Formats: sequence, C-alpha cells, structure tokens
Amino acid sequence: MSAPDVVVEVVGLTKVFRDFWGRPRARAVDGIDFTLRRGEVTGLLGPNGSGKSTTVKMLLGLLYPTAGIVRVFGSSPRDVATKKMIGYLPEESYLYRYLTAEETLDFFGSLFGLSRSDRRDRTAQLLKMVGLEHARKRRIGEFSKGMTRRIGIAQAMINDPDLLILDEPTSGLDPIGCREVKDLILKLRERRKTVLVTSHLLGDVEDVCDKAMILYGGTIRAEGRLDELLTRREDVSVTLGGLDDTGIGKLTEWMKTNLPCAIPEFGHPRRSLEELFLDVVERARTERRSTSGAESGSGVAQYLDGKSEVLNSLLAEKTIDRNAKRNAPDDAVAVPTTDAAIDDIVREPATPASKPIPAEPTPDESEIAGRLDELLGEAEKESKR
Amino acid sequence: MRAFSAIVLLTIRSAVRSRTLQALTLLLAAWAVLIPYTVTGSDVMEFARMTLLYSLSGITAILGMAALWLGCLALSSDIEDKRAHMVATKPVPRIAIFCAKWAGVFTVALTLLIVSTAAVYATMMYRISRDEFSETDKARLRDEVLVSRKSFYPRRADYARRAEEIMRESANKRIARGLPEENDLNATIRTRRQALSKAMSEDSAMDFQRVRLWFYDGLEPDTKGSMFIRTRVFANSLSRETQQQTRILLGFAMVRKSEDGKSEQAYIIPLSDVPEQLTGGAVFERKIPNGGMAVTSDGRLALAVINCDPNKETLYIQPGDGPIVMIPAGGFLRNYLRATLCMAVALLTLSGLGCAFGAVLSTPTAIFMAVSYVLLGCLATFVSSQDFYENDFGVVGHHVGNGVLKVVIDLSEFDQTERLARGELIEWKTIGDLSGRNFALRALPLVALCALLYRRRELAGDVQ
Repeated sequence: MSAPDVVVEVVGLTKVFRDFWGRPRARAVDGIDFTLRRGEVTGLLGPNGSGKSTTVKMLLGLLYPTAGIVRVFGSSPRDVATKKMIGYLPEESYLYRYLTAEETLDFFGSLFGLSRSDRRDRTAQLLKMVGLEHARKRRIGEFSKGMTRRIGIAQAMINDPDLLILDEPTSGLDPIGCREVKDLILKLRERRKTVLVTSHLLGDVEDVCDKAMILYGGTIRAEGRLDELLTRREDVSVTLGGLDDTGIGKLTEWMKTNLPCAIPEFGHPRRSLEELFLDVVERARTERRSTSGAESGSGVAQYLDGKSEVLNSLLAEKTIDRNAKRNAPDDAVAVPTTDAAIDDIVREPATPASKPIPAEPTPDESEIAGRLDELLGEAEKESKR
Repeated sequence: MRAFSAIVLLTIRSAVRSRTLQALTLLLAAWAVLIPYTVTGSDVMEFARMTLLYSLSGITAILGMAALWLGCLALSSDIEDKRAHMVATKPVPRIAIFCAKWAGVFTVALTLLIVSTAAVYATMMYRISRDEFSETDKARLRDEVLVSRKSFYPRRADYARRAEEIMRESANKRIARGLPEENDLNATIRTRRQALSKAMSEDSAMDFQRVRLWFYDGLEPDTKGSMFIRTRVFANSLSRETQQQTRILLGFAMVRKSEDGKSEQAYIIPLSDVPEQLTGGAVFERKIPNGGMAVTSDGRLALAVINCDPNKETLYIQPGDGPIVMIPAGGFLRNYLRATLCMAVALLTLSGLGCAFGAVLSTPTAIFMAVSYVLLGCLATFVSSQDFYENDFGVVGHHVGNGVLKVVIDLSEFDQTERLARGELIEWKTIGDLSGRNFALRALPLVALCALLYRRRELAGDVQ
C-alpha cells in the first residue's frame, strides 16, 4: 500500500528490449527502485543510453516493464484515470505541424475532456505564460525550435497536472526562456505538484530540483537530496559576518599559528552538480559497467581537429619544456598533451594557481606565434610526405 | 466523447492537408463531372447506362484507394513520427483512439462520396433535361433506367439431381450393353461434368414451335401496374458469332375452370399479336402495361415463351438471363441512394482495414498488406468463378477461391452500379447481405483483432 503522499512508486523496474525473435537485445533499465513524493522536484540524470527515456516512457505507459512494478498515484500508468493527472513534455515536441498554437492547445485540452470555455481560458493563459500570444494563429510547422518547445510546455500544463514529467524542458530555449521554465517549476513546487525533470543541463537541474537520481547502464548510481549529494562532508566552512580587513588579518594569522590547515574559509563547501555527475559516471565507467546506449565521446576526431600526430607530439614537447622550466625549482608537473593544457599555458592563467609559480620571464606572443608557424610548417611537410 | 470528436476532427484535418488526398480529390472532381458531361452513346439508354457505369465505378475505385491509403497513414504515421506519444499519454483509451481515427478517415471518404455522386446525378439529369433526346427516348429512359424495379427470377430446376439421373441412365445403358462400370476417378468427374452440362442445356433449350413455361413466386398480388420482361435469347447455339435475328412470342399462362365447372383448363394469353423480333445474344426488354394483373392472389406468375424462329432453330435462354420479371418499385433517386450506400459500406470497410493494418504495421508494410488483401479478394473472386466442371484448373480454382473468400472480402460485391444501370432495385436484403458477409463477418473480425493488438502495442518500442 502506497503512502498517501507517494506519487510514483517504482520497484525492481526492468526493461529488456528484444528483437523480432524474442532474443534480448538490450537491457535498458535494470531493476531500479525509487519513489517520488508530492511536492518534490526530482532530476533524473544520466548520459545518453543510461535508461532515462525508457524509465520515463514506462512511467507514462508507453512502454511495458519486463519486470518490476510501476505505480503512479497508486495505479497502473496505463489507467485512463491516472493519465488525467499527468502532464508530459517529450524530449522533442511531437506536435501536429498543421495545427496553429491555439488549435494545438485546444486539441490537447479536448483530450482531457475540458469544456469549450475552460479550453479557451486555459489556452489564452498558457499562450500568455509561454510568450506566444502573438503567434497563436500561426502553424506549429512555422515555429522555431524554441517556440515549439514553449508550446510543448504549454500543452503539458493544459490539465494543471499533479505530476509533470519534463524531458529536457530547457533544450532549445533562450536564457530568458530557461529562467521562465525554472520559475514555473519552482512555482509548481510551491503548489505541491510533483515534477520529474530529465536534463543534460546540470545547472538547470541544480537550480530547481530537491532530489536527483543519476542513472548509468540502466541502474541508479546515485540518489538523494541535492543538498546531501553535493555537500563535501570531509571539508568545513565557516561564514563570519562583520569582520573588517584587520580582523580577517588577525584571524588568518591566528589560524596559521594554531591550525595546520591555513584556509581562511569555514563551513561545508559544495561541489557543483556537474562535478558530482562526472564523478559518478567516471566511477561507473571504471567499474566497466555495460551500457546499452552510447558511450561518452573521447575528444574530437583527429581528422576534424586539423592537427597531425606529429604536430601534437611536438606541441607537447614544447609545452613540457616550458612547464618544466617554470616549475623546475619546486617539483616537476606532468602536463597532458591536450589542447586545453596548451591554451592554459599560452594564455597564462588569469586566476592564481594553487601553488605559487616562481617568477619567470614569459615568452612574448610574437615568439609563440613564430614557434607555432615553424611547427605548422613542419606538420605540413610531414603530411605531404 | 470530447476527446473522440477531437481526434476525429484532427484526422479529418490531417487528411485534408494530405497531398495524396488533394490529388485524388482533383481526379475525383474531374471524373465526377467530365465523364457524365462527355459520355455519348448510340442512344439515350446507352448514354445513361455508360454514364452510371463509368462514373460511379470510377468513383468507387478512386475513393476506395483513398480510404485504404488514408486509413493506413492515420495510425502508422502518427506512431512513426511519435505524435502518438502525445495522444496516448492523455486520458483516452487506445480503442477510442483507433475508432476515432477510423471515423475520421471514413468521414472524409464519405463526404467526398456524397459530393461526387451528387455531382454525377446532377450532371446526368441536366443533360437528360436538355433537348438532346426525343420524348420517346426520355420515356424509355424513365421506364428502363431511371427507375427502380424489383427483379424476380424463375424457379430453377435442380441441376445436380438431374445430372445424377443422367449419370444413372448412362450407367444403366453401359450395363445393358455389357460394358464394365466406370471406376476411374477422372472418368467419373468427366462424366459428371458432361451430365451437369447436359442438365443445364436441357433447361435452357426451347425447341421450335414448342411452349416453354417459367414460374415465378413472391410477386405483389393483384396490382394493375406495369411489368417488364428482360431476357437474352441465343439462336441455334450459345456462340455470339453465329447469332442472327430471331422471334419469340411471349404470353402469360393461366388456368381457368371448364364451362361445366368440373375440370380446369390451361391457356396462354399472348402479349402481342405477332411474335417479337429480337437479335440473338442481345438483351431484350419488353414493357407489359397492366402486367401485374396476371399475378395470382398468392403472388405467383407463369410466363410462356414460344419459339417462333424463322429458321426453325432451337433457342436457348441461359439461367442467368431469366427471363427476369421486373416490377417498378420506386423512383430512380431512391435506387441511386442505395447504390451510394453500398459504396459507403465499401468505404467503411476499406478505411477500417487501412486503420487496422496501420495500427500494427509500419506505413509501407501496412499499405502493402492492405493492397495485397484487396487484390487477393479480387483474385479469389476470379478463380472461384471458374467453371467447376470445365477442367482441373476450374476445380482447384473453385476450391481455393472459395476458401480464400471465407476470410477475405470481395470488393466487387459492393459495386451495385450495374444493377442501377439496368434499373434493378437494389434491395435492403442485398445491402444487408453484402454488409453482413463482407463487413461484419470478414473485415470486422480482422479490424477488431488489429485494434486489440494496437491496444497492447508498445508505442515507443525502439531502444532508447
């Protein structure tokens, strides 16, 4: 029996896709359990092919689980009565291109059995909400991606749903549109609505979600309240108010004298959601978890990069030389031969490094340009050969 | 109901915006107006019959194709473009989505049918009302085409029983001559074919100066209305090439009491003073004013035909040619509407089949299967109509064709244009029969099965 405030209950949910002969082709979701409660905004995260969309489609009754239980408002997601309480925005707006914005909302309102006057009122309000009042008579086929996304959000809200499932809600929206969607989600949370958001834009999820689940290879790798997930328990931060520069100086001096860790900041510093996400995925990858979908990319393909192997190795050598020269007195630093590393060194980092770098005359830009020209010339010769 | 009508409306909108339908509508408009406007025949009868046959059969074919096409697209394209996700996640049962799509496609096809058949009717009537034809021609047209007449076929002899008798006689003759009995299966089949052919030939033949009687049942008793006799007579043989002018005398056979009142006498009332002259192998139709008076109080009629061939040849009337007795039963418009209703049932069936295939298959596969289904029905109709006793192909074709037609619809049954052009009443029984046999018993179970599969189908089955 579900608790009264449980909106979605998933137990041992598994989905195996099979081929024509019934042979298993891919295990998209592998025995996951989770619960969504009333008034919670939950983020469902994961790289491509981790099983997010499959999970969402099972919650909507578009796919049937191979094993496990899905209960939405205590019933099967295929129940017509259950669907009355759900709003859904798919990852792409699968709308009828020949309908106008107004007709689209009217159509979806009719599917919920709304009366004509209700449909008219809600359509007008939703068009205003998503900023498409001026385009209400235009066909969806003529809309830009952002406008289509906005009308998609509007249709998901036409029934004032108790459970809103948003698949990539901010994709294709401009920053103002993103802010509006996030404000909308927060507003829904205030109204004790349950929202499930799947997104690759981790910042968006961090802004609006109370909870997050990170899927990888069809299983939940991390789950919990964002506060708990993002707080670094091993560090402490203290925030003090009312201290002037003299006070801070005294405090720093005192800490240097009395404490081994000379960090003038107290409390639990947070890491970003992006850091958490990458960490979880990296750990899962090192465990060689199988995944049915795409793996993360490993940099730009060489033929698209425009640089040859020779050029890369030469650049790496020069960089190591220069870095070694800089850091030689203290310790040697192994520098990766990536473009990012090269750029950092060439541009000189604007922020102070964690370790002080001894003063060293920086090669001027013309010198660097000259060297690069030389190297490019060599690379060209190499490629011609 | 709101959701249902919203999906119906959406399907109509989608169909109207389909380029295929727009092209078909143009073709239909040209067909419905140009054919009746440009057709010319050797006489007014031919004009009217050709107009009805060509225009209405063409409309049925074009709209049938459109209904099948739109039906296939209505569901399969929505599923493939994932728009079905948006509808299936709303509180509408899948069966309601299926039925609404079907209703939408049928509404489009029906609207086009009504508009085009109305255009054909209006154009034909406009041409007839102009002074292109004489008053006599118009009167004949009103009697024979622009009318609905109930058809009555004569009682038929039991050919199978007669064939058995002939075979028995043949076997007895063999025994009398001391020949062994036929045990070879092929020889038995051949003998049966010959016996049946002989039985049918006996029933069709009329020797010179002999009276042949045909008996009819179920006519409206004691009416004073007109009656029409329609038949086709072959002289000497059934070959069309050797046909020539021939003559018959038509009459009604009656029975009256003798003068002393003790016995009954049969006599014939001739319908003309001199024999009718007609062309062998051509359809012959004769109007009999007050012919209804010859019908007995229990609705029976006896028609007599006397062979008056100038060359003293034997005449033949095949079972399909009656003679058919036709009694006017109403106006042409009523019959025209009934023919349109048959076409509408065809469109209902085809749009349902299209939706059924589209609900469970991808668009190209659905279209392929739907077209194959209809073509299979046409092929089965053709092979099953092969003469069972003609040759071995006939036997196989008959069985295979009939077997396939147990599950596949025969589209040609819906086309009642030929009856309409002959001025024959399309009876409710006929409409009920073809709807029941083709729609309810064959198409509907398949549609219901596909609808149930659609209900259970995963609409996002690709690997995510």
